[in-house]
Amino acid sequence: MEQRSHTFSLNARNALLDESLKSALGNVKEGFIAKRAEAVRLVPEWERMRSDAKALKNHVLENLDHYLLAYEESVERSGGHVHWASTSADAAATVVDICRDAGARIVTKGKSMVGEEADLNGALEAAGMEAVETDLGEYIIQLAEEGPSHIIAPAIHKTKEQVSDLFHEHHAKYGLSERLTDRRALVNEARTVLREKFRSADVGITGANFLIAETGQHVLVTNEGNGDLTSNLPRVQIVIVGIEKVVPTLEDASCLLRLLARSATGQHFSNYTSLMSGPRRTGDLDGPDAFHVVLVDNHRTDMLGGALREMLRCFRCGACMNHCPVYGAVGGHSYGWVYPGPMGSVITPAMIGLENARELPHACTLNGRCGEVCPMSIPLPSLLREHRRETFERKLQSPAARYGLGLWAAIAKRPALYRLLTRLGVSVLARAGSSKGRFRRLPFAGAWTRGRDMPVPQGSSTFMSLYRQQRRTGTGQGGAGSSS
Amino acid sequence: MSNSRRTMLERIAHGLADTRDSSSRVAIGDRPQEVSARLSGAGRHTLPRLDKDTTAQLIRNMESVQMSVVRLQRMTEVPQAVAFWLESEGVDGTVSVAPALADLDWSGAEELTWRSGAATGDEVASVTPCLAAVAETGSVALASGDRTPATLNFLPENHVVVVRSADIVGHMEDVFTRLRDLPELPRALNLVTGPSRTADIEQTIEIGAHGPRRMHVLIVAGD
Repeated sequence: MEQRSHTFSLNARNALLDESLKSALGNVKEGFIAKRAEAVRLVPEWERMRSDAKALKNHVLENLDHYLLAYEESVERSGGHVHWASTSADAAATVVDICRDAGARIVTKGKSMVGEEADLNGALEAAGMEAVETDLGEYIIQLAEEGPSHIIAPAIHKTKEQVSDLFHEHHAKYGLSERLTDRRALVNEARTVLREKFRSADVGITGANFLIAETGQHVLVTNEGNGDLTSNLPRVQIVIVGIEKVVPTLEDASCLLRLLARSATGQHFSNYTSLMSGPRRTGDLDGPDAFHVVLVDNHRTDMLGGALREMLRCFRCGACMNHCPVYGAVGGHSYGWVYPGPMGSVITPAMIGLENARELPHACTLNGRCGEVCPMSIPLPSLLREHRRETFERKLQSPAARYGLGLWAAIAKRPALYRLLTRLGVSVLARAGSSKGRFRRLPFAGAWTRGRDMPVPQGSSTFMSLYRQQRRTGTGQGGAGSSS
Repeated sequence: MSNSRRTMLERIAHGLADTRDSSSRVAIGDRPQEVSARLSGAGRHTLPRLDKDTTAQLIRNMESVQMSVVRLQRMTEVPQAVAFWLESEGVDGTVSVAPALADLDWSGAEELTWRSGAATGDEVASVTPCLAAVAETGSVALASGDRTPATLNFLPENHVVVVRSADIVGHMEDVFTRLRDLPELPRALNLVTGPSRTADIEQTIEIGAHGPRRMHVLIVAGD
């Protein structure tokens, strides 16, 4: 996938001017946030389940090599093949090779974010195969030649009218002549066209939500059933998955499944949760003849050894982006690569390099909601701060920002000087703006005053001077300064 | 990409070197006791509390995801109940029955055209048994096999699932116990919780994305 993370500010500015995007993103708040809150409220055991899940994933990560080897052994026992891909390019090449060996012409795909990391569609098409996304959202953006803007609702940025236009343009070759405007008619149209693809596909590729080391099964969760049609109908089945998705046993998978659907869509359970392993068994009437799984690293092992290890607990529910005010305003494409929102701002720099994504850790108000709703208790705000620290350390910001921060740090480390300067600043501002009560423009604060006015300070007191004054006179309430 | 395998395992070991205590820093392939114990332990995590009446909970959960439920006394009533439901839904055509249920008297059901086997895509409905039904989630657990082809769960527009009362379990974990008791791990275990749906156009739910548009459950009390 093309990287545009280095121009985040520009992407975001353009996104804010896009009226249909604004209308489409309005659906996030009404849909995901309210439904998740209700789903969580109905489970009194929620917090205990969260801490179980955190402990479970930490244990897996501490023994990742052992569990991957156990999983490999189990897959081979059921007649499947395991491939290891240390880079996203290796992953794409491995998948293309398997498809070529199978003589594939049409390849159906279930939604896979790891597939997006590897730009699998591009690689398959370059090898002369037709790759067809079958998740409705992925199918829509494939027609639009765009990447996903949300990890579980890839076409969330599209309005119904835009979908209607896309089908009108691309489905003429399947005999669609009229313009469909009804939502149900659009879903039916996609169902009809994709049904033919399912039936004629030679290879089916999906991601996996979990890998079970004990049994060699992978768990695939969908609501549409497209993942199961992709897995069950073609001759060859391929699963492409990140190495962090392995869990020890079936019971560990169900522990995580209880958190996944509720956090993602607010369902208590997704419609289709399938546990699959290997090719068809002797006597089976259906199922693939061959089964392959591609285990992808793509910088995950770097994260394992550093401050970002906690990020490997992420199971891609999307709750963090649903609750992020920045994501809600600028949408997923502004982030410029596969993963948007808070989890994307943590992962993207790790995968494509902080120097190519240095603005992402700053696309955050540090309001903390992402960390609060994360079912895997990943401290996303701290991990973003970690990236910010490294950005400063590696001198990746503009010199103005760097010197500005350096200057601020030098002053902030000297409390007396800091107090003197803030008092000075406040009284200058108070005097300069006393007649109007607000500033429409301020030097060095253009970013603030472009969108709103800056109120003029009332009097020349700072927080610290008021605090001290109240301590002296005893008018403050409670707190460390109260004398009782 | 056998090189990748070695590279990745080395990188993992390297990444964990700082945090692994020396006792578990063992050669790759040499599985630590803690890991072996965990793999064979089937230890359960926190489970959500169940209602006293799990059958009522199952039915409530199924109905909340648009599965219709009917209760029968005997297995012999199944063919007629299938025919009746299809007629009430205005569905007419061939029904694919899982071989596991082919012994029932399908020819005795009026106006029902049926065949037995995997899905062809041309049938209007399928009828399948299940390994279990889960009260906690309202799911049916469908295990694939030579008498229960998995395509029946996904290709037809209408899907009827026969649940025996004795196969109603509380939690997902109870399904796993049954799964481990099978002579061979089935290729697919599909936990299905309502007809296929999508919310990919403007976050509004539409039923019948790729899989069945309608699901009907027959809970059978006796043999």
